[in-house]
Amino acid sequence: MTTLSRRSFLEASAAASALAALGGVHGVKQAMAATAAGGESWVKSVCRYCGTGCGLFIGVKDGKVFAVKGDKDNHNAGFLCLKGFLLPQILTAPDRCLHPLVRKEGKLVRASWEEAMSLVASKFKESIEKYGPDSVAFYGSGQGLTEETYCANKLFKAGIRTNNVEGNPRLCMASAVAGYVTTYGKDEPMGLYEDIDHADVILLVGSNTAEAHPIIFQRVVRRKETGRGVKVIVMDPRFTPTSRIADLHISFTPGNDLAILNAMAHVLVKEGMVDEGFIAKHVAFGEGTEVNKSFDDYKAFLAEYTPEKAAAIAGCRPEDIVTAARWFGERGKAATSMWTMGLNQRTKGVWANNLVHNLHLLTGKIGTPGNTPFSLTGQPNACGGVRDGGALSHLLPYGRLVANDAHRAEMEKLWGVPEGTLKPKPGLSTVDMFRALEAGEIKCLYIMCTNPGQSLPNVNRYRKAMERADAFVVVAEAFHPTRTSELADVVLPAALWAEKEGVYGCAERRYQLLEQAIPPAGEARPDFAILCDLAARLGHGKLLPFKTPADVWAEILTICKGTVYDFSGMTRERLKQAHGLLWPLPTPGHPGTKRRYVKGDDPLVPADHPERILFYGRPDKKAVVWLRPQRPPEEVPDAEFPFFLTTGREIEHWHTATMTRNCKELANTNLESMAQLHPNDARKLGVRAGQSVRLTSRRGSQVFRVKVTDNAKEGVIFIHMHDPDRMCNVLTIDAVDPVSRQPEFKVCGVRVEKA
Amino acid sequence: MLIAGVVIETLPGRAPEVALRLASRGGVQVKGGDGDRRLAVVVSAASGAELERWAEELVRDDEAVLGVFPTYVGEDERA
Ligand code: SF4
Repeated sequence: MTTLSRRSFLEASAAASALAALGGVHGVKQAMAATAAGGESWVKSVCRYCGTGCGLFIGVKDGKVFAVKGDKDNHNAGFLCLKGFLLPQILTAPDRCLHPLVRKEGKLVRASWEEAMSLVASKFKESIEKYGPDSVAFYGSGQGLTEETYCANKLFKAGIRTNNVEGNPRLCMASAVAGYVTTYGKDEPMGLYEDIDHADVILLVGSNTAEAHPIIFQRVVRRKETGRGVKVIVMDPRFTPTSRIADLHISFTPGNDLAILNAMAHVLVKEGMVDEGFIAKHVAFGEGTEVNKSFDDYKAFLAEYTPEKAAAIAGCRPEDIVTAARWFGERGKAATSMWTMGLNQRTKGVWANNLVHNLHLLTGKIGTPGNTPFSLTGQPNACGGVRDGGALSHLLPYGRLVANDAHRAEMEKLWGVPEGTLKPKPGLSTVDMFRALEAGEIKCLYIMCTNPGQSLPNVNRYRKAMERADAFVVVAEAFHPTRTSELADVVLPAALWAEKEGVYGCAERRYQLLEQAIPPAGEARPDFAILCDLAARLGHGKLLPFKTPADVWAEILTICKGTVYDFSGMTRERLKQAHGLLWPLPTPGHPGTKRRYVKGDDPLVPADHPERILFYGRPDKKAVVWLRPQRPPEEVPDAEFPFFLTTGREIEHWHTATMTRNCKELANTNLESMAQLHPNDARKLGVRAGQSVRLTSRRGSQVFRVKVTDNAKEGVIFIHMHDPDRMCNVLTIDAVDPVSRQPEFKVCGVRVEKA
Repeated sequence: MLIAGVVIETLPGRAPEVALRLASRGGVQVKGGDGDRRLAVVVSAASGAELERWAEELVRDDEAVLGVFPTYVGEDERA
C-alpha cells in the first residue's frame, strides 16, 4: 500500500489539476503509451463523486478502465480534482461486492441471485400482507442514477403503495430545497457555474468549497485572478482552505450566522443599497408561513439586527459585517453567493437559506450574469435523481407533491394506475423512517447505494435499529463491507459507475449521460435491473416493464413534460452528443436554459413579458423576502458539554470513504478522523498533537487523536465525516429542521477528556 | 506552506524556453506542457501572498509569459 505524505498528495493534486488544464494527464499519457498498439476507446461520462458533476472520458482497453481524462467541452473545461483522476481504481477495489450475500446463522454468506431475490421478495410480500404497505420502506441516494431512482420511486409509491421513499439528500440538500421552494415557489438554483466568471463579489457561506467542491473553487480562484477587484467573502467558523483566498473571512460561533445575514440586510437597507424598483415589482414579504408582510414591516424587523448586536451574538466584528454588506450591495457589482452543508445541516437550515436569498432579492442581484444565489450540492445526482425525480417521502416527480390531490391524480394518469392508488399522506422522512425501524413499525428496509450505518446522525441509535431481529434490511451496494452492509440481512452486489448507463443531474441543473464503458464486475447488476426484478417478483412488473435505462428515460420525458422542469427535448441521442444540458429544455432543438426566470432565456417566461424576470413559481409571481429571526442551534455548549462539535469534509476523501479509501494514493492520506483543536484549547486541556482524547456528547462517546491547528476556532472542535472506524456521527445530534427535516450535523455540544 | 498547481500561458512557441528558465528557480517543478504555449507547474510558497507575488513577478519579468492561472491550491500544514 502506497502512503503519500500530505505534501506529496498536494503536489500530485496540483500537478494533476494543472496537467488536466492542458488537456492531457500524465497518467493518461502513460497509460496510452503503454497501450501504443492502440485499441483503446474513450467513453463519455461524469465523475462519480461530488455534485460539481465534472465531465470526463473513461479510457477503456481490453474491457478494462485504464484512465480518465477531463472533458474539455464540459463546464469543468477539462479539469478534474485528484479524486476524479483516481476513479478507475474504485472499479477493481478489493472490497467490491461481487456476489449476493444472505445472512445465515448470524453470518453473511454467499448466495445465488435467485436465492437472494426470492428471499427479499418473500419478506417484503409477507410484511405488506401482514402489516400493510407502510411497513416497508426505501432509502436511496443522491448517487443513484436518475433511471434507478425513478424506478424505485414508482415501484414503492405506485406499486407497493407506500410513500416511505427517502434518500440521503434529506441529510444534505433538504434545507436548500425548502429554501428555494419557500422563497421562489420552486426548487433548484436559477443560475449556473458560469455566473462565477461574471461575479465581482463571491459570498461563500457554510461552504468549504476548496475541499468539498475543488473544481468550483478553482473557478472562483480563476475569477479572482482574472477579474478586476473581485472580492471573496467567506463566512465559516473555521479558517478552512477556502478562507485562504478570502478578502474577508468572518468567523463566528456555530449556528449564529442568521444574525449576521440579517445584519447584512440591515446595512443594505440603512445605507440605501436596496433596489426599490426591483422590490416593488418582484418581491413580497412574509413571516412564518404567511406572505402577509410589507417592506416597512421588514425594515422594522431588521431594526434590531444592528451589526453591533449581531456581532455580539455571533462572536465576530461588527465592522466585518458592514464591509461584507457594502461589498455585496455595491451598485453595479455582480454578487454570487454559494453555500452548502454549513447552512443546510441545521435545525434552522431553511431559514438560513431564506436569509441568503433575501440579500439577492433586496439588491435585485439575481438573474443576470454574475448575480445568483447558488446552493452547491454534495452528491452527483442529488438534484437530478432525488430532488427533481421526487424520490422523497413528500414528493412526486418533477415538482409534484404527495399531499396535492391534483398532482396525485396527474401522476396516477401518467403512470397508468387506478385513481386513488397514490396515498395522500406523505411518508416518513429519513430520521423518522429509522425511528420507525427502531420502533418495529417498519419491518423491511431496502437501502440502495448509500451508507446510513455511518452517515446518519446519532448513528449508533439507528445502527441498533438496523440490527433488530425483526427488521429485514436489504443493502444494494457496490462495496462490502460498509458500515451498513455489515448490518444487512441481504447484500445485493450493484454495478458501479462505468459498469452501467444512466443520467446524472448536477448542482447547476445540468443533466449528463454516463455511458456504460465496461461490463459489471463479478455477478454485480445495475440497480435498475435489480429493481425491475424485484418489481416483477412483487407482482408489479407492469409498472417497470423496461428493458434498458433508455426505456426508463423515454418514460421520464413524458413525466416531466409540461412541468417547470420540462426537459422533454432532452432525448437520449441528444444527451449522447452533448456535454451536459441545462433544463428547462422543452423541445429537441432548444439549447437549454442558463438562467431560470429570465426573459429570453427561460422558455417558461413569455417572450412578451414586460419585465426582465418573472418568478413564475408562486401564484403572485413574486419571490419572498422572509422575516427570519436569529435562533440558536438545538444544542449549545453548557457546563457538562462545554465545546461545540462541528463536522465536515476534507479534500482527499468523499463522504463515508467507501470509494476513496479504495484508491491507494488516498487510502492512507488523512482518512483518520482527528479531533481538530485550537492551540489555546489544547493548552487548556493539557493535550498535544497526536495524543488521544475521548469526545462525549449526549448521544455517544468516541476516541480520536488530536490535531492542533490555528485553523480551528477556539471552543469549536472539528472532526471530518469520512472515517469508518472513528465515526463522528456517534456524537452528532439527530434533531431536525422542522420544515426540511434535515438533521443538524453541524452543531452539537461535546466534552473532551484525555483518553 | 502552500502548494499550487498552475498553468502558465506563454506567447506562442515560447513555452519550452520559459520552462527552462522556471526549472532554474527554487520552489517550482515543471510537470508538463503542450510544447507550444502552455506549461503545467507545481509551485510551493510560504503564503498566499508569496504565491501571488511569484505570479506577479513572473508575468512582469518574463516577457514571454502572458498569464499565470492556478488550477489548485493546497496547504501543507497538517499536524
Ligand atoms: S470536483 Fe467533484 S465532480 Fe469534479 S472531479 Fe472533483 S470530485 Fe469529481
